[in-house]
Amino acid sequence: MKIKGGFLPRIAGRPSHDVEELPLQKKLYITLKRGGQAYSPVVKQGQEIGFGEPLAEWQIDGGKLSLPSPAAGKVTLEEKDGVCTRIVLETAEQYKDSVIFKKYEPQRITREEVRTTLARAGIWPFFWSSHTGGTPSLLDTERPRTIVVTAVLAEPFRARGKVILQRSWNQIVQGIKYLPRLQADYGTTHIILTEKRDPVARRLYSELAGFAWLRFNPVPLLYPVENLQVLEKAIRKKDRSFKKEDIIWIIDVQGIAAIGACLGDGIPIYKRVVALGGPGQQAPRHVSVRIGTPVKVLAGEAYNENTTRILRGGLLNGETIHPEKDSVDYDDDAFLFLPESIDREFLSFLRPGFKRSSILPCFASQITGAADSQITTSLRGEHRPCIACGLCENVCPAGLMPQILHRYLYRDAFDEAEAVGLDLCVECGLCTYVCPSKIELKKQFIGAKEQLRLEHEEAQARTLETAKNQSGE
Amino acid sequence: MSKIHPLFEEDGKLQPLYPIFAALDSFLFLPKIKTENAPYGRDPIDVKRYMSLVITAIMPCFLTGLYFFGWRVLLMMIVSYIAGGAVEVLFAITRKEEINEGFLVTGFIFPLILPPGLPLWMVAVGIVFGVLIGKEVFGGTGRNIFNAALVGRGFLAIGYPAVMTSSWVTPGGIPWGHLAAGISITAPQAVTAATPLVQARGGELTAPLNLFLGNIMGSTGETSALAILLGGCFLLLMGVSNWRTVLGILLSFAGLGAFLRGLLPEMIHPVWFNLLSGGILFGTFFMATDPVTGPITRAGKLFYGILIGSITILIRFFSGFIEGVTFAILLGNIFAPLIDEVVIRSRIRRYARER
Repeated sequence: MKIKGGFLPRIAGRPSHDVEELPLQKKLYITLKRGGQAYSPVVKQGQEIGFGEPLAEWQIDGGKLSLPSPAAGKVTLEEKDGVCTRIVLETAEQYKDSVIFKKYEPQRITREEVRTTLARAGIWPFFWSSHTGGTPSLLDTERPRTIVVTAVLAEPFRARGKVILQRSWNQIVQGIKYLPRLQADYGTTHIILTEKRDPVARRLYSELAGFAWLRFNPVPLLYPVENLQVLEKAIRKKDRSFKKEDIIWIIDVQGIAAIGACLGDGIPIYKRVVALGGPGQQAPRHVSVRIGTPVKVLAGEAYNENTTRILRGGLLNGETIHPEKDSVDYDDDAFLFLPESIDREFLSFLRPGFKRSSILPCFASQITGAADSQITTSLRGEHRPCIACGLCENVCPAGLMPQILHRYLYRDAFDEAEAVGLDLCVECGLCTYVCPSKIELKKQFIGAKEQLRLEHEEAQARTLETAKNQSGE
Repeated sequence: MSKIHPLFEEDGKLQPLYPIFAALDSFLFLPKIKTENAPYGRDPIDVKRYMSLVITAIMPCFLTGLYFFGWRVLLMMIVSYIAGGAVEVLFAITRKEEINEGFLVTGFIFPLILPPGLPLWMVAVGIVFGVLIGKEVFGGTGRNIFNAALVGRGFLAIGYPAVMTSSWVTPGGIPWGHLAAGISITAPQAVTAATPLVQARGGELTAPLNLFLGNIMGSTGETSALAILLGGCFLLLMGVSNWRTVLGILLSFAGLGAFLRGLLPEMIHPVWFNLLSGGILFGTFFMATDPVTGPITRAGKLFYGILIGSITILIRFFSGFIEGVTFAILLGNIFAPLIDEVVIRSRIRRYARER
């Protein structure tokens, strides 16, 4: 399978293969927000709660989604403006973790049971649906023609698919076998891997060889192959028999491992494997950590907030967080440690650049193959007008021309920008990353998309109103 | 720098000169600007690195020019930088913007596309006109329609045709070229002997080795094909110049040349001579690949190249001008937005299908 454009920034601090188990903390902080949706708590102040019991719920089409408690303990509700936004869980020795769901065989489970169990176990939101553009509905009427399982998370540095595969092999193999229960008749499952020659990939092949509904799709290791819209488009393009109304669901390997653990072993989601990487991290590695663990614990003793910034997510999409206030969420799989820019390098643009790596082969690291260890929160240049170098067009995975979009949006020509594909932008951030003029393209595009959405809504409301008025007359 | 910084602040004594200070400050030290939006880390490539790559690539041409035509070339360069730089700074101050790196390339290229014997005041007039009319009136680098250096050259070619076509200098020989001769401010004696292109009109073709090495008469930087190819390939490898433009020009130029020679063998020179003589190589690798003034779409660059290559051949053989690269590229600049428009239209149709 091919994707357009794409680029993999080569930066230092790649997490090692080891997965360190972090001990259970005395206090866990669970944010009641997931996938941009606020969940409402179903526990009371001071209540003692068992492992896997629901802390909060959110009603969607066809049922309720729960946030299961990652550990047994005592609940404290934290309110902000009268709304409970966070639950603090005081864990204690006497509360034991245990199996709480029924174990099922893949052949003996009904569709209904898969859906309700996954929703109660907090695993359902790991699915992304091309139909809703987010979490799929729990209604049995939404059945995907294809479920895509992606083991390639290229963005530096998200928890690597291979690390997860090696660690949770049995759960993943088990989890994949449950997927036909969710699919439409004659549906398929596509597994996205880096290359067929990879020993891990080969093992997966041989283990799952007998299933006719399973397809393997090797992809190049380029950001953003894991992007949901990019994957969806690539799958549709590869198989021309896809119709517009055919639904595609996407889930990553950690989600599949959670499904295997939940339906096969009866355990809800309670842990995440998180990649701790970046040039600001002393020991880049993966850690397996209880949901709700404060980021402070991950950052370690040596962390200093004046010299290092922590991003939730990878280099291209990560958002700044505060280690004191933030904790590991249900969907987290990466924290990137980016040094703050402090020094101003003398005649930086004339230096050979042994420690800098760029999309253009114009630094010495090109010869030595060194990763970029000088990357910081610095803009690494100044804002300039577009020089039309065309780098953004080369990397754009949606096949857009960001320089043209920028030109239109610069003079607020929203309609023209929409015509040249503003709505097809997948917000991967690559154009912004490579721009030598340091133009904030991603921000500009997201803002313009929002504005267009508002305008469309307004126009729709207006047509509705006129239609109403006309029928009233 | 931090010591003198207060002088240029809001109420400092030298406040109007702030752009000069800012340019110098950010030229010497990497600016201390932090990312405010995701992605929070950025690629180390910036406009300064980009432009310094271009200058590095043109350096071999400058050095061969210096070798063959003497220290005067350096003098021309200094005049070009001072006169053009003054215009750039003046506009930056009045516009209250930063001084742009793009000028460093324009000022560097300009003397290289002029005859080496040109009076220095003419160099100054040319660059001032080029930067002013070719760039600043459009809003500076990134917003200009025409290549500033070529506008300057075009102006001189039309305004002072006699001087422009007779200010050639005989290239110096082995071992020291013209470097031993010392500097003279006054223009050297006009040489009546002609450039290879002029001689070829009389039916006398220069030897290919001379054309390749560059010990021929011609504009300062354009004589040596070897130096141009060195720098040009460097730029292509670095990904700074676009291979589509280069390929488009060379293919259409050579192809159309070969085709016309098949029809009119007496009038049209052989392809190797066409390619090695005049400014076509320099124009191809360093002028036409200027990203700002060419089409900004990737697909458009190939058509842009084909257009320039074809027009050059037509001007060379079917007009009063000896060489047509300058005007071909300026014409290409005019057509660039149109080419972009065509590409954008076809893209719009494709996007509509994708939705």
